[in-house]
Amino acid sequence: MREAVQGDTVLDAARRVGIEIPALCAHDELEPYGACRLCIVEVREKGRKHWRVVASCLYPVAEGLEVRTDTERIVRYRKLLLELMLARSSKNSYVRELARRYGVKGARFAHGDDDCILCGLCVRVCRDVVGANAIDFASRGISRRVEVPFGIDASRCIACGACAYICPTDAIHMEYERVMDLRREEGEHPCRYTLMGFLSDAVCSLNYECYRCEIDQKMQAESDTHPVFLMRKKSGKRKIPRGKASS
Amino acid sequence: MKQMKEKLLGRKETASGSKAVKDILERHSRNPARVIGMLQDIQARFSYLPEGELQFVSEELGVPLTRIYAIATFYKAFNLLPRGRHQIRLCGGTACHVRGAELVKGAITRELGVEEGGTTEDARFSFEVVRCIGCCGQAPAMMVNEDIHVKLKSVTVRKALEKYK
Repeated sequence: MREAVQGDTVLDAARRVGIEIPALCAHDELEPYGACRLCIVEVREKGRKHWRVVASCLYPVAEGLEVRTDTERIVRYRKLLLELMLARSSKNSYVRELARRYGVKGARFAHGDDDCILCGLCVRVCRDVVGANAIDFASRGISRRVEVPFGIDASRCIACGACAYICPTDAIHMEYERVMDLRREEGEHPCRYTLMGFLSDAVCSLNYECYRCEIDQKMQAESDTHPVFLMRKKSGKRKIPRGKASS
Repeated sequence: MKQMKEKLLGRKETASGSKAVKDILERHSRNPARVIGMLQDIQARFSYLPEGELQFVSEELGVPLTRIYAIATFYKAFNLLPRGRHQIRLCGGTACHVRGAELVKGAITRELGVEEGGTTEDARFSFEVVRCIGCCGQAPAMMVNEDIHVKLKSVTVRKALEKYK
């Protein structure tokens, strides 16, 4: 068995040794966030008597820490979380599949049909990796949603598509016609791969018609990830500060 | 939203970067950590948060507009639409609720044609339901601007609103 590394979270360590813990809002390239709560596990710290339920994506490993990932209690809690998610996104195939795997048949609560589960991955990738800050959460409580400011200002969006790529429930789709519109606005809006620093300006063989762009598919087929993450790798992966998790 | 704003204001929205907002930024030493305080001051000055001014604040401080918009929509105290000349705050606290605040709310909605959280088309009133204004003993109660009106009934609330022009 391989050892966990100092600074790992429980989720990191579990994944390293091949133990599956469900998680929707966690991503290797992003800081842990703790929104979906599906990754809850039971932990017992060294010298303690009781098992506590914590979000494994935020909980740092430590010497002598015991972890249980699949107890009756955890499964019960996860089922409730999935039921709530199912109530929100009753038509979403990803949510339904996950719920089915846990034997959650339906939700006792009102059924909505919002595909977004508010995990914040799109907001975080846009802010922390792309650096475009085009979308963020707006409002709160039941009206919380992902939005561009005032519902119209998309001028900061570089149309990189990272948000659509990272979305665990496929709630965001690229509209290539609108991408073209964005490019035409304000004079010559450069290619999104140029904006990401991935291509130099002169190389587009498709006359900048983004709807014909094949780079997406090629990139993903060859590297198994979205170009924005490749850019990051080239410049050296940023060390994720674990200060938040250990406090 | 833009048309709604112009209707309520009776004019076009002010251009961004007004002197007042520049002063507000200076008063907060242009510290991005004090955005909430700045937004409060901007709202005190304009009665709401004008889109252009938020854009200006964003550019001046280097705080993304998405962030400012998230803050402005998170807190109920901030308005993105202009407010009416008079603020009606109907108490929806437990005591007022039990004593018939819902009926009073219905009466206000019918009388002014404005839903909770809205502003009348003539920009005379803004109407919101708040939690407990501390007049439980004389419930149901409401505040219009700084005036307190208590022991309201559907009939008396109509009368009370008449004097605000």
